[in-house]
Amino acid sequence: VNIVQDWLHVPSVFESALLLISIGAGIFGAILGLGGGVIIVPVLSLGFGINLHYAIGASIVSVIATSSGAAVAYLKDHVTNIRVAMLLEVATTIGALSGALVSPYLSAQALYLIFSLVLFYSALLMYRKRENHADTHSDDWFANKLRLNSSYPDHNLGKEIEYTVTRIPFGLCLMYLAGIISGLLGVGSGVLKVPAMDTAMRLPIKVSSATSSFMIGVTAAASAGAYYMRGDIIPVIAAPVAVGVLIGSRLGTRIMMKLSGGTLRRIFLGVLLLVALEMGLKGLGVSLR
Amino acid sequence: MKKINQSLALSESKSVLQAEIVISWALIIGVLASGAIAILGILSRLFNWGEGDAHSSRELVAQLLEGKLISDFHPLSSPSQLMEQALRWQPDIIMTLALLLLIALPIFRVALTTAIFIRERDWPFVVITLTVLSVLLSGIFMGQSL
Repeated sequence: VNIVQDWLHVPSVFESALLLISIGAGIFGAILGLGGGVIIVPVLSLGFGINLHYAIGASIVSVIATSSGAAVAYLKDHVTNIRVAMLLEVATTIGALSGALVSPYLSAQALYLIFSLVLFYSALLMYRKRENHADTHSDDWFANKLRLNSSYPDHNLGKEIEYTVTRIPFGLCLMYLAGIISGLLGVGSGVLKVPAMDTAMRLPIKVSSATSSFMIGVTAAASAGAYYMRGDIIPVIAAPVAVGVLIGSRLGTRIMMKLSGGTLRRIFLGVLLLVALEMGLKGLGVSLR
Repeated sequence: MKKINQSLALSESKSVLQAEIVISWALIIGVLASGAIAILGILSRLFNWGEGDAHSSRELVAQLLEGKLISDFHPLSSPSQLMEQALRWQPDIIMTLALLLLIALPIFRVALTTAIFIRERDWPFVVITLTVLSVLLSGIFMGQSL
């Protein structure tokens, strides 16, 4: 272990290792259907021993890279609701900015604990079967005024499905929270955005997840600007991580298409739970090493 | 009457969608350009091309691996400084340019979306997108004061 440690101190080895590990994190994230950020922060902080703030700073940039690279796909299938996305981005960006501004005042332990809770919650959502809460008859004053109601093509049924949007203030509050988590932890926080849309605002699940993915880059940019100016985005770390996660998530998506992947997903989910556990213990001040 | 209104709304959102798809392609080009610049920076460091600087040392890596904060790291924010150092081919600055380009992409998207809604004369959404844009820009200024 000591030899590996020494070797890692060579700058070129350090950077190559970051690049390779980030490709792995990108693949892992794509196969679990999570963003790269959820995986790369624990890898950098627990695995490499890098300061948590730098891990978060590198992660948020990789989140922008993957989501900006994927937006065309979400738009082309005509499922994303652009107007809902823009409206909710008001809440997520203010949230992300609040998160980024608060994070320097939080201890690493507190951040580890919050991160661990988000990981456990993400894992939980993978087990739970999602119900469609879509509504077609709500008559919401705001939704009518802002023309948020829309429709999307369902390829299985071969027709346009119309839907209406309700409870916008509730959705905005949940989105503000999702933004805070994104800004605080350097993750896309899609796991929190989707429920805000499908459970609170009654959008169809398909529309919720596409719209959530579409929003992630803009949300991340709000905190990334603040992180950059504060000096938390270290080029030596963030550049290889961004490139690696970007390549990895593309590869992961390819692998997912070829592979039904039940077993692989279960193994990865197990790893995710272990990571969540270790982060939680670190948050509680218990060290395993 | 209601039917007509609805189909009007749908056709209008189609034109917004088309414009957003074009913007998204532009963003992909941006991501690829940023990736290429980042790889150039990474390679430059790996093979010691260009000017070395204080932050490329073994010492820095040691500090990072120990989980320390780098107290003398100051992000560059003035474009002239960035350009000047990039022209001297400092690998760290080349990587920084790649990262800044990435951070700018979503801001660029929101700015263009604002322009689309202005063209559509959809004033509520002009206000909404301008709000998002101002939050994004204020993040940069607020981060500076921390």
